[in-house]
Parts: sequence; C-alpha cells; structure tokens
Amino acid sequence: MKTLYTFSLLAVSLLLVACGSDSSQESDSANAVSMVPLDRSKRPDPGPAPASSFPEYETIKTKEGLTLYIIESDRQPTVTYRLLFRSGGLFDGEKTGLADFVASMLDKGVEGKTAFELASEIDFIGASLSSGSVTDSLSVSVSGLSKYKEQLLDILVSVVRTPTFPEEELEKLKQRTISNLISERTEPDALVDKLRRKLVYGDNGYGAFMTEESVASITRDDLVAFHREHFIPNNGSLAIVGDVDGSADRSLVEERLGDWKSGQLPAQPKITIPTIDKRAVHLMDRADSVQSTLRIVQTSVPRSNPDTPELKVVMSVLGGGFSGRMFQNLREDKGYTYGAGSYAASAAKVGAIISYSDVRNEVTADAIGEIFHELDRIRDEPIPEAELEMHKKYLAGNYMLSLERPTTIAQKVLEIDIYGLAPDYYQTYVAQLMSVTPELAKELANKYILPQESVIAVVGKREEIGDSLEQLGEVTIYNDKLERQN
Amino acid sequence: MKSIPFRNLLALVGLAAPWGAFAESPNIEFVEYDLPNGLHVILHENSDAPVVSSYVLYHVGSKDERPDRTGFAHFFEHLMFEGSENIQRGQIDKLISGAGGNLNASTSFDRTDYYINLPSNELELALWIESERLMHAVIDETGVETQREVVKEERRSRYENQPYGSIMENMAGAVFAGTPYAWTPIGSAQYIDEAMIEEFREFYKKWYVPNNATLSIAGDIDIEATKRLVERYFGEIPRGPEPERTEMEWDLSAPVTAKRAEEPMTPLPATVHIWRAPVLTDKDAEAMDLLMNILAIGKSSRMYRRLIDTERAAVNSAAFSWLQEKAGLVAAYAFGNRGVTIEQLDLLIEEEVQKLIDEGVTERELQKALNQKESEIASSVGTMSSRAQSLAYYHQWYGDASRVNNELEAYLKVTREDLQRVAKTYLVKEKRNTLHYPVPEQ
Repeated sequence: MKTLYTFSLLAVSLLLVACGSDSSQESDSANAVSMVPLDRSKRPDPGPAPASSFPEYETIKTKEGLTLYIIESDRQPTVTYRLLFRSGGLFDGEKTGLADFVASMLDKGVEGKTAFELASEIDFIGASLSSGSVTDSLSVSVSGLSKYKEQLLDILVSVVRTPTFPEEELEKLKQRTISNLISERTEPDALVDKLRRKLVYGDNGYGAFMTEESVASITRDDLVAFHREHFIPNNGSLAIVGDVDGSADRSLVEERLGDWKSGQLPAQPKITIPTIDKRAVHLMDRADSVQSTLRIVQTSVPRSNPDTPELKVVMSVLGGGFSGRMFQNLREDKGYTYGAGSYAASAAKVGAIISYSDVRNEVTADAIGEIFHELDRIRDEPIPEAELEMHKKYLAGNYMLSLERPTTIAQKVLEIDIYGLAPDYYQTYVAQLMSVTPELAKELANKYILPQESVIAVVGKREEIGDSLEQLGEVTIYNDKLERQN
Repeated sequence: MKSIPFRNLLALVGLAAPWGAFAESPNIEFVEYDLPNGLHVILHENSDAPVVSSYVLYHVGSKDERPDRTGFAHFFEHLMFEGSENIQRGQIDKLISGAGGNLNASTSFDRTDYYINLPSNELELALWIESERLMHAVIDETGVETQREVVKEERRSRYENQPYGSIMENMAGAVFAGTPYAWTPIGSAQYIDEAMIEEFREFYKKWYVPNNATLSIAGDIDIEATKRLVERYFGEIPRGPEPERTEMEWDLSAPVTAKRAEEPMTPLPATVHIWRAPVLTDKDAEAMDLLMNILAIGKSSRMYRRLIDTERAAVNSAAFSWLQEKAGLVAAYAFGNRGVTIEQLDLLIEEEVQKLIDEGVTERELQKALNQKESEIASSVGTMSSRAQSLAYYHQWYGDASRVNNELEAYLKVTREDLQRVAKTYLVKEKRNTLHYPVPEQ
C-alpha cells in the first residue's frame, strides 16, 4: 500500500540455514480443524504464543576499559564489527560538523596507506566500511564475509587507531560537504529537520547544523585533537556480530587491541534548551513547493527516562505505523497525505516529541489543525481498551520480530551504553509495554504530550499557505539557510 | 600515534586470490508446488526465530497498463488494503498490528507484491488475509475516492516536491520510449481520476487470479501443516482465464535522445547517461551487472576514483543496471560539485566508459567484482522476509527458485572477454541517451 520501489532491487540471495526442524507432527492445529469447513467470516485463532526473550550475548570488559559484546549467529556467513564511541556532535564546540568530519576522514588515509590503497583493500574482499557521527555517538562499522574476519578487524583497527587525516583529503571533503549543504537547501525533509531541531534544541550539539562558515573553520589540527581525546578504549563499545566463534574472536580482538591505552574521558558539555511558551509558526519559504512539509514539535525527556517504554505505547496510539491515529485521520479519513505519524525522538541528554506529515498546499492549516486535535484528544479522552491492546501487541510483536536480525540486537545492546539505560532494559521492555492501562496511558499523555509547548515548523510555499498560517500564530519566515527574515 | 600489527593488512592483498576455491555454497531448503487452481506455492522452514513471513507476488505491473490508464497497478495495490467480503474496510492494517506484525506492498514495472511479517503462531492470519484479498476484495467508491487523493500526495511527496524527483520518469521516458516501460509505476494522476470504478473491478478480475500469483512463506513453520493450511485457504479460489499480455518488441538499437530537464529546484548540475540493455534473464545480464560494479561500486571503483577523488568534479556518482522482464537499461550518473559544468561531467563519464570499451577490465577488477557479488549475495537473505521474497523472485523471473542457492555460479562464468564484449555491444556513444539537470540561473 504504501511504498513504491524506486529501483527494483535485484533481490539477490542465498544462505546457509541450520534447519533445526521440529517436524514432529503432534496434534498440530491444521490437522485438527481440516475436517470442519472453513469459516471465512472470522479471524483465525492464533496458535500458542512462541516463547521469546532477548537473545543471549557475551559481555567482556577489557583491562583498558573497552566493552566487548559478542553476538553469535550462523544464519549467514558474514561478520560485522561495530564500534561506538560516546562522542559525536555534542562535542563539536564552536565548529559544528567537527565530529562528522572526524568520522568521514577515518578512511581517507591510515598509517602506511593512502585512501585509495585502503579502499582497494576493502573493495577487493567485498567488505564495507561505514563511519558516521550523530549528536550522542560516533560509530565505525566494518562488515564482510566471515572468512575474512581477521582482515576486517585489521581494517577497523587501522581506521580507528591510525588515521592520518591528510590535508588534501580534508580539502576535498570540505568541497563535497559544501556541495551537499547547497543540495540540502532544496530538500524539504532536510530543511524541516534542521529547522525543528534549531527551534526546540537551540544552539548546541542537538540543534546546530553545519554551515559553509563552520565547515571552513575546521582544520587538520582540530581533527587530530578530537581523535586523540575521544578515540580511547574506555570511551567505546565494540559489538562483534554474526558468524563468529566467541572465545576465538575474543582473543583475536584482545590481541589486536591489547596495546590500545585508556585515557581521560572527554568532559561532558553542558547544554541549555530554549523554553517554548506560546504556539508559533516557523515557515521556511520554499517558492516551488507543491506540498507543505510539516513538523509539530516540543522538547521532551531523554532516552534514559524510566517511562520510555510505556510512553512508546502512548506514542504508538497517537501516531505509530499504519494503525496510529495520525495516519488514520490525515490519510485514511481525510486523504490529505501519503504519510503521517508521531514519535518520541529521545537522545542522551534531551528528547523531542514530533508529529509529521507532507500535505498538499491547500490543506496545510487544516492538517495542522487535525494534528493538534489528535494531540489534545489523547490527553483528554481515555484510550479505548481495544485500541490500546492493539498497540501494545504491535510494539511487543514487532520488537520480537526485529530481534531476528543480529545487527539489530547489536544496535540495541550498544544503545544501553550510549544512552545510559538500565542493564536489564531489554529484558524488561516487553513487560513494561504490556503493563500500560488506559489510566496510565492518560496520565503519561498528560505528563509528556504538551501541545501548548509545541511549535509548528513548515517548509512550504508562502504565497499559497502564508495567510492560512497567520491564523495559527505568529509566523516567522526563514530563507533557505534557515536565517530569520522578519 | 601508536603502532599496529601491520602484517595482516599487507597480507590482504595476497589472500583473496584463487576464486571459487572457497566461495561458499548456500543452502536454503524449500519445497514448491502448484495448487490445482494454478497458485504457485513455495515454503521454507527455519526455526532460528519464532517469526513467519508471507509474500505474495502478482505478475502484473505498470508495463501491463494501458497508455491511457497509467498508475493503475500501483493504485490497485492501495485498494488491496481496503477490505474484503469478510474483512471490513480499514481492518487489514489493524489485524496485523494487533497480532504484533507488520505489512506493506509495492509495485514495479513487472509485478505487484504484498508482504506480511508475523510472530509464527499467527501464520493463519496471513493466509486468511491474503486469500481474502485474492478471492473477493471489496472495491467501493469510498476507498477509491480516498486512495485517489492519497496516491496524488504520494506522487507529490516522492517526486514532484523533490529536487531531481523526475529523474526516473525521464530515464524511462527516454530509453523505453514506444514500449509500456515508458511510464513508471506511479503513473499519471489524471488517468486515475478518469478511471471508472468498473475499470478497477475489471483489472482485479483479470490479474488477481491464483494462476497469476506466487505465494511464498518462510519461517518457523511446519511444512506439512502449512501445506494443508494453504490448501484450506486458497484451494477453493477458482482458476481464472490466463491474463492476456500485450506483446512488445525490445529494440536494442533504437534512436537515442537528449533531454535537458529545466527545473527550478535543481541545486547542483547533474548528468545521466543511459543505454538500452538486455532483459533480466539475458545471457549478458550478469556481465552487465559486474561491469557496472567495476565502474562505480566502492571507493576504489573507476568512477569514484576519477570523478570524485582525482578530478574533484562530482559530489556523488553511480552506475547501475536496471533490467526488467522485457526490457532493460543501464545508466551512469554524476552530481557535480558547485561550479563544475555538465560538459565536464559528461566528458569524464564518457572517458571512463570508453576505456571499458577500448581496454576492457583487469583480472583483479573482475575478481574484486566477484568478491563484492559474493558478499552482497551472502548478506541479502538474513531474514525470513528476504528469503520468502527471493524465492518468489527467482521462481517468477527465472522459473527457478533454486537460483537462490546458486546465483553466484552464473556470475562466476563471466570472463574479462565477456565484460569487454558487453561494453562494446551496449555502451557505445552512438547508443547513449543523455539527461541533463542544469542549475537554473538565479
């Protein structure tokens, strides 16, 4: 229903299966019922719920303080090493984009090798290397066939420990980054996300975005200093995922990283968050828009907040998936949009509650009205029991389905470290979801969903939507660099 | 900076050599059969996790549409979520959500597919929903009217409101001109508005028949029990007439086109070179795929090295093959850095392609491309959803679901000579179409 393939992906294939078949034919339900005619008018009854728990994994702390997680799965003959540092854009300081540049420069030259030589080695074994930075973390991942696992680890070690940050490569990256910034000034989603972050988070690592000036200010010395301070074992967690052998691979990693010395952890920057006390509209005027790209957004609690799983249930009712209220109202009832929803985006130090949609110009104000109607309704009216049950099961079931992928398990385990979650967070997660009653849901909705403290961010065509937006609150206009124009 | 164990990195170069020697043979076991009504069924059992994925592929896509009813197959995909005689309007999503699962669907040139992922104890729910949709979906005015608006918004979101959003339509329009691949699955809003509800019902009757569908199920299932359930839910659905398909000729030497897409939102200069290519199952398909990999996959690839790294001309570049059931194209594109001209980008791509034609590729490049392919294949079927989908894909297009296990062999047969021959046959300048996105004057 909802997606259209852009390029039909060559669905490639294969893999080893260990078929642990339980083909015992004991009284399976199909057998039992096949004698009676099928009653198509009723939903079939489910079988007994399968047992499911968070998969087991091994945790090791090395003597230099690196946390190692080993998650074994022989479903396919591949290995992923994913190393996360508690670093990222939060530590950019004045030079917004610095952490991002450090991450992007890791494979642009390592001790003894140029960027091209390194790329040739990676490509030759069909491996992939990716590195990136978000506000709360900086990650490096290397994946490939498990028969090359030692080489994959060596690649990881070289880019993490001995990047050379050549000046010439830095210049090239700056040029491409500036081109990307120019491109983003025409992309509605990129624009609206920068705008809403700036509005609710302000001018810190969560809200600031790269500009041509901030990019120009980054020097090689900055990269070297950032790398020296942040890339220390006691600041990181390494997940080894896939077709590995726990003890052998643990020794391998300890051997390769044995001389990596711990250091002093970087100081945590203090951040201040702006206060929002009245409903206002912030419009980036995009003259050729045929849709308004909308975000209704407020600040909220960080990920480590103890109510996070329970709040997820409330957010799912409000705007999760195809059965959430935003989708049902704005799309299935009104036909305003292709997609609509709400979610809690929670980070290490702060969070946000965001509702989103893209709607045709003429219904912009009406769509915003419907979004606020749903924000108010979930606070004012109890959620019907059946609707609440559906969303609890939706979240719990899809959580279980997501654990089919070992890389997802790794991602979740690493999040415990990045966000400072309780060690048993994922063991108790489903029970917390299932504990939500209509009373608790209403209480949480009133505590966390705050329409009066929400702002409206819009990327759209002022000429066609400006007047209707004036009815909703004071309108501030921005240009494509998101600089205020009034 | 600290020293690291270097020897292993250096050893890399020597290691990956003798090919085939240790390429692993995958082994996805499955059973397949036809129901008497023609529905093709593929079942794969794996009990690693308590999940089950159902995947239904209908052999109908946008190329099966009339030129004055484009967008029909995709529009119909939306209608299939409305309801059936036994499932009330709007309940399909909710049934799956409430069972802890997820679902979606997509439409391409050649097929429409529907998938449902669920905890394994809910297999029967998926069979019920999919059989209801095939047997007696309900197509009423309310659903049609709402989805008309939704699909127009989808078109705006994905294409009209995005820079370069017309790129796919322009590529298909240029290279597939004169064939039913000339329009893309999203189609034209105008035709969806013009269509009468009776036409949607006719479309359903013609294409949504069991003998035009493949049902593929993978996960923690019992094969024999699942066979009985499939029979129970799908067995009573009557076979339909074989859908009549429009014949089409695929002329690899059609005249070329050049288009300048003057669009107000274009941020950076871009060029796309497009050539007609063989169909998906052609003997040259694997060679073409590898050739595109050598050109543009990875930071050591020829186009990355030349356009992005050495010449600093492009911010992004790629090449890919896009082979369909009855037509195909390959394309190479570049998005230029600020200040670079389209002519510079054109020249650089042209030179890189010409080198493939004149000099072919090195043995090492072929090995690299094969290693990348092996890795790609190994990484692509880790989930039950991807397995169900791949099995149906290989059955539908190659008539051979077991290709899921031996596709790599087809690639291993490709030689350097094949690669150069394919470059010479398809990628010459005389057969090249161009598509330009200039940055508008301020």
